[in-house]
Amino acid sequence: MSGDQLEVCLYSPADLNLMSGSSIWVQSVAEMLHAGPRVRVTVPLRCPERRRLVTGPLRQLERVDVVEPTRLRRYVPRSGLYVSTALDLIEALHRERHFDAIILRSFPTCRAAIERASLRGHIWSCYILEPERDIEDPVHLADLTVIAEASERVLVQSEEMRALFEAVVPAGRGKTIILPPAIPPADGGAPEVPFRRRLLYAGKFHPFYPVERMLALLTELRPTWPDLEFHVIGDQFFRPPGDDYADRLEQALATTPGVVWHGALPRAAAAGLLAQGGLALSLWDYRHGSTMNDLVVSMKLLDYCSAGLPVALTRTAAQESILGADYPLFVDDLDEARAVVERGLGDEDLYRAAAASCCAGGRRFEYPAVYASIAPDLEGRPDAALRQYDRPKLEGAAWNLGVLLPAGATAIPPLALRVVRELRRRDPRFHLLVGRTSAPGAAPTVPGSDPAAALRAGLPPDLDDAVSVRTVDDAPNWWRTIGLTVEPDGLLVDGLRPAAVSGAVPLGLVGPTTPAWLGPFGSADETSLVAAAADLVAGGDWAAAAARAQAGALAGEG
Amino acid sequence: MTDRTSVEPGAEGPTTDASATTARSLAAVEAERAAELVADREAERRRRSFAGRTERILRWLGDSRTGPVARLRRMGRVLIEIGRSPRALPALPAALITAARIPPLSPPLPPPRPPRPLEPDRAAARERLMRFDAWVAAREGPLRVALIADGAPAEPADAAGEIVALRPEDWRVVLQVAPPRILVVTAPRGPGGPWRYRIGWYAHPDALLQRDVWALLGWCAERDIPAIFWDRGGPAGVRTFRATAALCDLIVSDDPLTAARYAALPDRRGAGVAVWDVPHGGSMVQRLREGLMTASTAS
Repeated sequence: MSGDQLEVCLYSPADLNLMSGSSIWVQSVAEMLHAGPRVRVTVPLRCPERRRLVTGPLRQLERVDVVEPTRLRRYVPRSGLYVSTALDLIEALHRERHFDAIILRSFPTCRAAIERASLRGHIWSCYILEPERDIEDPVHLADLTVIAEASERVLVQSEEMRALFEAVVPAGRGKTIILPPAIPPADGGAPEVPFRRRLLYAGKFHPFYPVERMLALLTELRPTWPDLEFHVIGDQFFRPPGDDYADRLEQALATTPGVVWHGALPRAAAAGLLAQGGLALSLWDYRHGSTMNDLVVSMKLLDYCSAGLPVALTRTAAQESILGADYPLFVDDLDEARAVVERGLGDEDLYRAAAASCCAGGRRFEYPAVYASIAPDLEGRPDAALRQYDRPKLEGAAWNLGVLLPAGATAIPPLALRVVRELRRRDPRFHLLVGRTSAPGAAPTVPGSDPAAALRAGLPPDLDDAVSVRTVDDAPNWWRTIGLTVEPDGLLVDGLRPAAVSGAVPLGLVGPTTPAWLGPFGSADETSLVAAAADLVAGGDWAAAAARAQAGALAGEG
Repeated sequence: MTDRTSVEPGAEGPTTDASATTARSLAAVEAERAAELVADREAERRRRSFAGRTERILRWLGDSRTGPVARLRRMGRVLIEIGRSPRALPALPAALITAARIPPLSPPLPPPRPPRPLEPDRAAARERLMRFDAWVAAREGPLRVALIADGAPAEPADAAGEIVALRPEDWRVVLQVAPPRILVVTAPRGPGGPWRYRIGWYAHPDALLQRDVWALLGWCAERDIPAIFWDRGGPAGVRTFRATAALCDLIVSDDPLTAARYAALPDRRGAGVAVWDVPHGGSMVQRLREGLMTASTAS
């Protein structure tokens, strides 16, 4: 850190001369980092600059420095620097600028970077879980573990991707941060696009994105709407050896009636075109890609959302979390695409409702919001570790009362049993989930034979179905299943902070030494404690109480 | 003299079965090594022969990465590019050397794994189900059903049976004491409970790798205990429970649309999908038998 300035290096092996999701990602992350007033971003390029579609806008930013690969070597081939040479360049820049964080995208780059002693301690490995690689391969898993151990932080795209990463690479727990693709903030209110019967696609041409099927959709729908057009943006073709996919598609784009192919456009120009209205398409064909893509937040989708367009898109977990499970234009199967597109183009009210959902869904990916989510770690704030607990609750978690016990605990606190019994008397949906912290260095638990099961000894028979116990070796993820927590010794200690930051509402008896931030959640006796808990969940106030608890814990009052 | 394959080296008499196996294995390994050595010598002789040398030279000439044609082509491209931008002329020598060298291979993406053939799993599932059905028909003892559900089972297995509700933390211990005849996995309907995030699809480490479900179903399969996924989530639940359902030997649903969606799962390892479109009646066992009979004709 030089003075108040935060020095960040951002490197991706993408060729920024080409327009693709990967190159736009670099622009998006650089612009997002630039939203931090103290951040200065250095973007070393892998390939010599030939077009300024991506780098042009970056060069206009005051605190972004685009570094040509020729800075280190006088001649660099068109295909760009090899991994080792790119790391030489980053090392040279690091000696000069003393980066606080070096964000490196892709598995091969990160694997090579951790071998450089001078970079260790500064590496933020980004998107190293790649859908094309086999996460069941032990060699690959060992590499991922080494990267996680050597990295300062590991950046993942979405909560879903973080869950998978932490499941397969336990060494990454406690280091992962979500860095989704980001979009520019909307000027003023929500953009309102005109209702217009046209289809839009922006992105690369790869069989995973079935553009040929989209062209067929256009042909099928033109008899109904003769003026229907399909506007296509992009010029990067996947060219599989021994397959004329690219030639065939290029021919189809050039000759299909109704297609307007714009080629590559700068992001701002593409946004302008999208803003003129239409129905955007983001369909996936799993015959040509891994289902791990289900967990990825698509840059394409966010750009459509940013323009305020309705999108007909493949239903995935990550996209459901952005638009909501009830979004009307999800496609469950490619065969349903035509019906969904017909609905979107044929019903103006539906078109506008879908556009509003997309617009709202994209808001949390705007630059200031994304920067705010990574700022605690980037700026080294003292509560950064605590914020690791701030993760979305799983569906139904509000009904789970949780107690996290220390590693040596031998019994479930009687207060927790009494509270869950009373809660179940009011509503049988309540459960008590008891966690016992894993002892340091303990072997992983064998499924079906958890040592924590010993805590069940002496459990009253009427609570047999209501109580579950487990060893907890990953507290932030365990707290995601918990909606309420009860403190057996009263609301006395700050040890409840992680639980509260996770969004679990702390319950307990209030005492003279209860910290101020916990006071509002305290009860004078057990009866009122149970009543408060039941009312919170059944009465619908739980989410608001969880937010208050989280805010109080982070504010550090008391 | 004793036979070497049945005696441990240095032992004075016949060995036990285990040591005989070890001795035979060692002999087999030695034989393999000897054969490999002969093959290596033969390959080296061929490599050094005139035909071998010629073949290697021709291969090098045509190699698109290390061959002279490829190097000359790369150097030619350098000359063209620098010719277009004379300002880069001072970089010409370094550029030519770079082009003449063998470029390092970029780490390639591993080829996608071919889809695993599921027919052996399906055949094994079919056999488990048929054996269970035969056992139910003969009924030589009490039926013990292991059940994954939210809350206590609402009905008995049948008059002479017993249902054991499993918990994630100690099912192995419980089942080892008294193994069940069948495992029934039901989709949770309630909001909470310990199994919910382990058998449904959620963005959570417990759910994504299905460690608990794999372990439990593997334990049952090793002991020839069939596993049935009993759908209660309807069509909307298919996305949440498809991964677990696909691992079970049989999927049962009373909704034809739901059953069709489960039947279409490409990675389904079970024997089939059974549809109950008749009003529920009889005990759980009677209904299971109906399901098995339906499944035997299902795809």
